[in-house]
Amino acid sequence: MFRRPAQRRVPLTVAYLVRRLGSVALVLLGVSVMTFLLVQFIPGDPARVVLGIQATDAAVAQLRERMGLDAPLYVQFGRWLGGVLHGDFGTSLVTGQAIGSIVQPRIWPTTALALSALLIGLVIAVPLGIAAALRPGGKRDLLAGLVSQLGVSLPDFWLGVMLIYLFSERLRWLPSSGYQSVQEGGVAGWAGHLLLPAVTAGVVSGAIMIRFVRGALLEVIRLDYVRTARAKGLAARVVMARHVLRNAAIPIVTIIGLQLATLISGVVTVEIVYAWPGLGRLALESTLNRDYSILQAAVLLTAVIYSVSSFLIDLLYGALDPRVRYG
Amino acid sequence: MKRSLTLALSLGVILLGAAHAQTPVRGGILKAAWTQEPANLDPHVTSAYSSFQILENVLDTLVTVDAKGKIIPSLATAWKASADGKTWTFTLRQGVKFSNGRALSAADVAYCLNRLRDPKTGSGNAYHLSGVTAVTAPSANTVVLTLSKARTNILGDLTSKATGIFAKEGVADKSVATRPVGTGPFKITSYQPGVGVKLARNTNYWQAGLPYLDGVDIRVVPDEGVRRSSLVSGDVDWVMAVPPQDIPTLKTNAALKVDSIPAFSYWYIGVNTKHKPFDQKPVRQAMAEVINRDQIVQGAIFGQGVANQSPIPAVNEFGQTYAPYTGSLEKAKALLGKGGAVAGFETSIMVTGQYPESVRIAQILQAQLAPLGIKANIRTLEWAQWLEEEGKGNYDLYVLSWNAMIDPDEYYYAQQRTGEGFNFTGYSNPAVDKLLDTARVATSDAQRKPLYTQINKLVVDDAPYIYLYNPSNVNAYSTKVHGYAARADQAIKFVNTWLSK
Repeated sequence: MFRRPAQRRVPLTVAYLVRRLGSVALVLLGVSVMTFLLVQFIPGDPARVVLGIQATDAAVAQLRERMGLDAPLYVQFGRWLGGVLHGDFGTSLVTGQAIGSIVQPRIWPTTALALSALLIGLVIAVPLGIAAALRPGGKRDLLAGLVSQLGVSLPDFWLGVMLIYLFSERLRWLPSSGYQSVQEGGVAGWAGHLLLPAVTAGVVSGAIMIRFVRGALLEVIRLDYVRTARAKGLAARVVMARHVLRNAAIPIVTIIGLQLATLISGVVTVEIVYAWPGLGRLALESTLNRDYSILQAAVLLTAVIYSVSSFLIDLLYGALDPRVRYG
Repeated sequence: MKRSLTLALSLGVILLGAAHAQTPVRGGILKAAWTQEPANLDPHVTSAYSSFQILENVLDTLVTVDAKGKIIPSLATAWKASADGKTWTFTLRQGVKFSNGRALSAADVAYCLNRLRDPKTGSGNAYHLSGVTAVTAPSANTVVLTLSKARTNILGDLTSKATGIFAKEGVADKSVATRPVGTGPFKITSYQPGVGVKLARNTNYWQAGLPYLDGVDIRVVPDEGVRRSSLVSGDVDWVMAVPPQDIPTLKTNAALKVDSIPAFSYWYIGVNTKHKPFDQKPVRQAMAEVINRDQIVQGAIFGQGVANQSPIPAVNEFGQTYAPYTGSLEKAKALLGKGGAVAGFETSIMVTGQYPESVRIAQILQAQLAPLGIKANIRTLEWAQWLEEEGKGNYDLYVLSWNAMIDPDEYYYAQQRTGEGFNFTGYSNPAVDKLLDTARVATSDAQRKPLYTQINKLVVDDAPYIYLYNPSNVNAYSTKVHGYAARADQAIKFVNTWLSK
């Protein structure tokens, strides 16, 4: 292996970045068009639904006009996209508030729930994944497989209701639902409300990650240098920590990134059960209320979170593995 | 013997209850769980019932209703209709202040009502003031409404929180959408989307000594099972609705009270009188005759309602008890023959997942209509589409409810008068039209009661709507909550509520 001249490397990296950013932009445009069209295909008159069953036809016609529903589709889309590019997501059809002010208070609770769920997921997945990979087919591997299977197949909705029944209704240790900010309830109040939803979402996420951790480690364990390290008489634990984990980091980072994106974009059922003010619940409620402008903003935001996450993962990949940059 | 024992027992219970009546304690925060997110708190913009249930404790209206649906004073202490019924003059209560300390004047009332009916506002609630051509404030404590056509039910409309009075300062800075300032017992201190609303005592409230509570902490808990858990664990003191299947268990819990009352709303089957064979009155009557409403109440809503063949429940001032249908299969078959459909027919019932009980009712109806040879298919539509189909008359039968009526006129006029906006069944009976027109301008209850009794009889006999039941309004709360009662109009009023330690 000889090193390439350094000046060659920069333009390539920039080219790579530009290419990746271009594809992110394309994906987001595609998502915007898709969301917009999907909303158009929902049957029924949104104005009628927004105003409720006892509104007069005149009021409905007026709202249609105010919603801009009379204009042709491409004009409606153009207006919306133009607004978004200027950072204006429009106003809610139902409440007339600026979308930014509706979405913004949801970002912190969503992030807090996603990060703590991810942490709980990792606490479950990494030890079990390692234990499983050390002896494929062994007792621990079976146990890890069982935990993973169980976590993936338990409906999170049911798990949530059961946890509430146990820890809130029976033992009265934790609040049953709702959200408290640190200003309101102090750190204890905030964490107390966060714990059950984080565990519920974390169990599911951990169960998914166990398989990935195990798989990634097994890929590496089979490689020559691991066998060499073992042959040198290093303890299995040392081999695992020093050689295997480091090289299995890339696929593990990928799954962590995608799990985080999934958790941020909304664990809808968990948010509904625990009355948690997250983005997923917002998207669902907006759909039910026919508040298309919020729905479009929420879907776009989710797509941004996803694209940015996978973009960052790619960058991290590039940092961890030079081959990616020139691929 | 048995009877006297029962009597003695019930007397004992009454005496015990009297011994338990305590003096109200001031202070404390009531923690209440709502079922749905309040969408917007501007009474002219929102159509969400959950918003009105919050505004109930924040805004006052000119008039309001007592537990039986009778109109009583609120911001107005007196009102008078002109001889032709087109001019209504309201005298305002003296010394009322908004929660921000500013004195209320007639100009505020006129401003709010004019904003509600202004086409530029585009309010879906403007129908409450339909026919109102002007609202003026000739003096600081007089408000005058002018109508193009007389209608007594304007009073019922003026009890709706959509006509609640708020301080106009909130319109310019848009705070009216999240924190309207009113004259009611509580003021809104915070509105957190997705979390809930916090209310605090309005220290300027015009009823001296009220409210008792320091505040109400309203949170939104969408899942009904979790609401029940929150109540049982003591996490919340009061919940808006509990799963009907849980009510028997909750009733055995000594720390809780399940408070239930038949609501003023009603569920019904809408019959398309323009479609064959439903254009034949005997066919509609045959269906009304054969269905078993008690079975529907038990099966579709777990017994949380009262079967009724007329829409207005007995607890109401204008309650109707007319119930001509006996459930006889022979009679129903004879009627079907009279309507020219002796062999039965195939039809469909339109329902929506938006109201799950409508789906359950349709499933029971399917079974109940089968013995007549009527094969009813269930047509489940998404809510927006359902509304569209109803509007176009593209249905045979549908199942739905009407909510939040105060004046008897609201039970019949818009739905049953020829060509009215909500008459989707195509029903037309000149006799009913004439009576409806007379009853809506009659101003005394003594005049109106016999008129509505006649209207009700005609509509029930003609069966464009087949009335099913009045659902129960159920609230459940801790035994520490006093001075609260579930109401038939589903209004949630915490003004007299207090918490014992």
